Amino acid sequence: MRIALCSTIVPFIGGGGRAFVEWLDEVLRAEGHDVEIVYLPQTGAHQTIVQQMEAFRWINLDSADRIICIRPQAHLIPHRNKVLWFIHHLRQFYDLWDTPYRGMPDDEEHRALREYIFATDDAGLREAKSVFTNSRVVSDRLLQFNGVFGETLFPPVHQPERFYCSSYGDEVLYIARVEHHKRQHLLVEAMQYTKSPVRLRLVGLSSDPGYAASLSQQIAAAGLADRVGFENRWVSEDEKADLLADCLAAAYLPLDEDSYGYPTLEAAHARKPTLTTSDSGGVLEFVTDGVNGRVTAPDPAALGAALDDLFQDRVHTKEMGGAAESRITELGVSWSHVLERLLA
Amino acid sequence: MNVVIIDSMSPFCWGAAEEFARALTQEVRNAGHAAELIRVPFKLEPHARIPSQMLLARTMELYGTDCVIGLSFPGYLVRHAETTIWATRTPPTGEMSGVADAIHAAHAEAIGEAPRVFAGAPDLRLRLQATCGVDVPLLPPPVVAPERFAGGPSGDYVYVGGRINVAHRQHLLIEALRGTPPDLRMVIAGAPDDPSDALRLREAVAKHGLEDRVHLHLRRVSATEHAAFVNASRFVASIPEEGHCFASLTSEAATAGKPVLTTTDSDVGMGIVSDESGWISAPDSESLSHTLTIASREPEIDAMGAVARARWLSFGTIWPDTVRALLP
Repeated sequence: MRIALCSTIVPFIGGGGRAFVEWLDEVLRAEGHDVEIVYLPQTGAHQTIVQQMEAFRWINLDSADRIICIRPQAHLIPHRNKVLWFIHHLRQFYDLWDTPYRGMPDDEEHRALREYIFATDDAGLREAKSVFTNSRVVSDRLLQFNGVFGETLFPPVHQPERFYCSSYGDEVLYIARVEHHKRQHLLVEAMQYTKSPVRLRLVGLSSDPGYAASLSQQIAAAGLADRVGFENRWVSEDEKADLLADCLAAAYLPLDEDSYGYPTLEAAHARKPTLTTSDSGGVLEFVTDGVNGRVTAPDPAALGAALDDLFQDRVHTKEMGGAAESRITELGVSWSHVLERLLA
Repeated sequence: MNVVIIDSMSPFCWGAAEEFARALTQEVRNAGHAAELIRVPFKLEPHARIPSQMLLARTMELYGTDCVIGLSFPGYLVRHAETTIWATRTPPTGEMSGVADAIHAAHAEAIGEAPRVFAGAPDLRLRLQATCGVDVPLLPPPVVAPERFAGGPSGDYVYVGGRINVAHRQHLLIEALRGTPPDLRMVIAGAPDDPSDALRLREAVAKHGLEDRVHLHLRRVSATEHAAFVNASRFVASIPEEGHCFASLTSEAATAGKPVLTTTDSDVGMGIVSDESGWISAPDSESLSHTLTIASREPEIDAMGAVARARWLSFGTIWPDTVRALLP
């Protein structure tokens, strides 16, 4: 089958969204399909959102037998055989509208813009033969705001057989983009409340030099330089596997994430539990407190206590790591399942 | 600086233009910049949908980009303070009636806004002059990995490389081969745009009983294979309809010291092909048959190839200079 994988990008910004498309491309080609990746630029700037959304309606991919659309506004591309793997809305117009994160005034002009976005999204979504999402959180939002049912199809990692478990060391590992909403700073603050010799290692690339600098300053000011490591750099997939193999546990505590996040899944493949918080959104679809990871209030003292527990009760930490690996199977996270559903 | 290269995409098709866009992206990185290639889906048919595709390009938002290099229509219509239009392919507007004026107007507007504009071939330069009233400098695309096209002894086949589709007219060359000396072979190599394009050529070979003279490699060939085919050929043939081809095969053949056969209605001569360095035939089967015969019997074929090579080298086209010209 000729399949166009359609998604949007911000030029020069890499990350999980692109990796995901490229992994799907690889597995589809391995199945013998002829695949074309269609990447088009898109920004969330609301000042130009109308022209951006309209432009996607003009794309002609008739030569494809099927299109699979991932990141918005790709879901607006018209096609007779369109499948959506919908990963997020323009949230400032949806669930974040009545919150401080709207980022624009609640006035007549922006309410009209919101109506336009709802109508355009509704039309694009309803054209699809099938709609999948990457998490129950996103499925719930689709139903609530667009009246569309989206089947949850959890995204697997690339070549999960790469991950392995060697030992449970002294270090909790946080591998993710270093951004304010990923809240590495909260975990650094939590380290001040720990009583055990547990260590923390933050690894990932930051697009915000200011935030990265503030993290370094926070570590130094708290006198934690000998227990908290911070490496502001890109991590290869192979290196991730090696780092996870020897860590005590992983940490991933983004604010209200749309899905469980690759860091959670990668840790589970390495039989390591994940420490997260009660407001991390989709991460909680994977992690259950005390079963396959730790879930605390988003409070540094609570996080500090959980870090100590992971260090001091290693038997339980190992058990939770095993349960995290089992959770992958429970949720049906696999490329074979993805192909079965996307190509049905 | 952050540089975006924009090219048009014919979904599921791959040929010299696509290889070139990828090579240019790498050369911009080699020059020390961050570079990203964006390929925008574009279909020429139906003509009525061309304006909306132009608008798509015109409204594209390129956040965090310092410079945009647009290689083809409609992608090079994108609006950016630092746009370089490097027209390596433009659409043939001769038979587009209602839409042609819109295309010409869009070209004129975009060219008027862009700080740097180049034509990738003499024919493209003339076409922009005639349709938009603008005269832009010539910047021929360098050959990708020219060291691969080292040339070699004159072989016994004409090489026809490139995307396999109706517009490239490989089927016409097969038909023309019928009336040529039996010792002239033909090698056709490239990815078919559609299974029907492959079938067309196979049927033409069978219909004319040329199975022992025409060798079809109807798949995406590697750059190494392609160069080997050029180097071992007697000469190269490229006869696409105007506006449907990226003319790299001409410059590659010239680099290898091989003369080129083209037609009066193609635009791939690159200022290289003339009576001293190749052949320009009328685009019908009988004329092509006659020209193929002359080419197969040409005693001075090596000298013709040398003229083609000297002519190409006289352009002084190398990657570092080209990248410098494209960037602010």
